[in-house]
Amino acid sequence: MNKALAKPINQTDKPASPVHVDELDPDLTFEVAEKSGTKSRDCLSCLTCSSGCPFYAAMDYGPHGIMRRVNYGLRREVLQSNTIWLCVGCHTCSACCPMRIDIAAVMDALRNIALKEGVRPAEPNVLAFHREVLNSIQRYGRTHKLEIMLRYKLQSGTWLKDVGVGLKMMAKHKLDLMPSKIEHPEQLAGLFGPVWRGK
Amino acid sequence: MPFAIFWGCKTGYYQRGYKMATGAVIRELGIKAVELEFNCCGYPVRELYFEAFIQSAARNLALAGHEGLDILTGCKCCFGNLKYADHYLREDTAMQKVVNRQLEKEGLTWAGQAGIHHLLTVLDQETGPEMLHDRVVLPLQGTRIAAHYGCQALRPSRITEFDNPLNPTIFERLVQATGATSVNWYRRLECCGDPVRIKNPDLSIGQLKAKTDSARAAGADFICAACNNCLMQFNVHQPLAVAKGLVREMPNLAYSQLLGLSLGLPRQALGLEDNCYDKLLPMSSAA
Repeated sequence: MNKALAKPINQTDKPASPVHVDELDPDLTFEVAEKSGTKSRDCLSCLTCSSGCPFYAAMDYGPHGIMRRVNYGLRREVLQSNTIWLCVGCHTCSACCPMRIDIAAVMDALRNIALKEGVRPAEPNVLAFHREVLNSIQRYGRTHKLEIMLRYKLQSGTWLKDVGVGLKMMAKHKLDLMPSKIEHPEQLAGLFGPVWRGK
Repeated sequence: MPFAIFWGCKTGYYQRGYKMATGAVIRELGIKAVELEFNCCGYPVRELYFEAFIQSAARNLALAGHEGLDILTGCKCCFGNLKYADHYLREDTAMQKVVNRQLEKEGLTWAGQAGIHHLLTVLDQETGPEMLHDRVVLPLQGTRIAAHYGCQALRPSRITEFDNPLNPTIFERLVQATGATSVNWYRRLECCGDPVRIKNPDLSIGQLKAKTDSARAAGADFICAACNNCLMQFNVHQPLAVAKGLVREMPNLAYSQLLGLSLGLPRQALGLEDNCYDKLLPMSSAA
């Protein structure tokens, strides 16, 4: 990926922070293995995953760095990294891994752990946006893009930023004013158990 | 037997042209499809709340299974994630029970009956490229197409069973069936950049630029995609990036529009006027 274009966000030249031995979590790799169904401890650090990753340039550690840190038990570093949030789950890394590690599943598991533990995502606005998507599905059974965008923009305080974009999208039939909804969205409400209730 | 057609949240509402073209093409080829009350496939919440993703997908699978139909979708993300959820439910009996307890309230059960197909797999395996080639009345000779695969259908291939994840050929086969030439381009298997837009818009535009530049370098006239998210990126977000001077414009179209053109369907039926940069389309005066 084009290094110059991808704005590196967390790739500051921060000095490598010292590892505090009492912070290490030797069970992290097993916890991740259980959640993801794949063994990150098989990793050879061959960097095939990071070479293939389309968003590696903007990541702080990259997939191979996450594997390494999970195996070392650097729990805080891993959960606070932006790598786990920039991963879109395209599975390029998983398809190429010579050790057959499903790296994308590891990222899924780490995001899950981070959310359960209340770690603030390193990418701002991730949570606000996802919450609106979830609310939209609960309300209509489908995602209603216009409402998601409006609510998200209100929440993130950027609501005037892309007004022109929205108007153009409407003109091209890319945004609908009325939501497409299923007949009985209330039947879906029960699907979203007690773990996450939107707001 | 008809398919239960799964448009996905974006087709039809934000990708009207893709929906029209897909509908027109499958009608023309005699593929029968019925519409059910499907909800979201669950992909948008997968990152945040995995269980909700599985349940949302399971409801769709149960709906189709209840009618005894297989699902046909034009979206690679819906396809890949419905496949993934189906696979996950087969492996995890505890999750199966949780999901079915919820579905019972609607009189539905997930039992894994419904098969899941993408438009391209149906065209390739059931209709067949040779048969398509015979149906073509306006071969798009000389048009160079960069086929854009889309991640979720391709990988993990063990689950999606779409094609070889490192060297797929299905899309090129289908492009060639229309008489067009498919180009081999460097970034054909990479992510389109749409899923990362909200988290990091600059990164998303960077990926769009990398992809369009790569297709242009390979001499492509068009990027052709068959996925709602990829089409959002190329068809909706690209013009905005072009207006800001970040990306050089690269024309694009959906596979069903390409196929529809070669089958001689009228332009209006393919929703081409909704497409950005369709002015370069071949035979714009025809039909």
